[in-house]
Amino acid sequence: MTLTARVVSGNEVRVPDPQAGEVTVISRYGKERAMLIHPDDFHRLDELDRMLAEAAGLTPLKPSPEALSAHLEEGAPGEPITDPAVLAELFG
Amino acid sequence: MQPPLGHCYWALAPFAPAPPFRIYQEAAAPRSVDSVEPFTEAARKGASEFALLTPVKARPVLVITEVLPEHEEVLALRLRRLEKLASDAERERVREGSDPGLFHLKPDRFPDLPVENAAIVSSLLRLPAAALDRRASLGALDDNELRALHERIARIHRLRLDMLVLERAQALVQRAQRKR
Repeated sequence: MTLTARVVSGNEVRVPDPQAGEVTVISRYGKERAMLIHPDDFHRLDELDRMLAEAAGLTPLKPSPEALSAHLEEGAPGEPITDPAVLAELFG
Repeated sequence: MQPPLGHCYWALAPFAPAPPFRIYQEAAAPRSVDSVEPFTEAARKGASEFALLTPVKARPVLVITEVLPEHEEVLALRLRRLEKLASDAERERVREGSDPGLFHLKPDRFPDLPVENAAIVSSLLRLPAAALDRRASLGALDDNELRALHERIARIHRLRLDMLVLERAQALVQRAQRKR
């Protein structure tokens, strides 16, 4: 999942100064509530995330003209057997 | 009975219904409808299910999934006889695995197919398990071939599997971090 950045003005919140390479974990009742990281780290992680997503994406394959015609011809019905006499002979 | 994944069987495979649609009518000749719109109009009036006369063909298919137990269904591919391909050069391309849309079924692995075939990668069919004649397998892919075929199916249908790969990668990273 690509990260979305939500910008909040520094005047609205009080946060400790983030240091590069360090994560400040804000906990509440013993549980991780938020994490504060340095902008350089965020952009590095975001870039890694994008690169991984790109690497994980599959390169589409294009069928050859021969494969396309095989798909069409084998997917199109021919002349069905409808003669009751022939059907009776086949299925009793 | 062996699991059908990767095996070829004779099956009763339907063709996709296409216009003109022929609706079965009790005690009457089929009614022909030239397009899909009259069906959607009927559905808006509350009548949405009909019996269509759909052509089917008894043919060998290659099963590419296990039987989904909740539905008793499989996904399968139609086959193309190599003799129907346009040229010897194209047949050779398919045998070498160089045609992404046609997956070669090696005759030594499919001894009970009457002739040499390739699976049409783009021809996904959903079939009830009961539409497969599982009395005898005509041959089967090995694990590596099946994996290569699945990859081609995903790529030719442009399936978005990136999140799956990402989640797996993230789980591996987390596991590695826990070991430290």
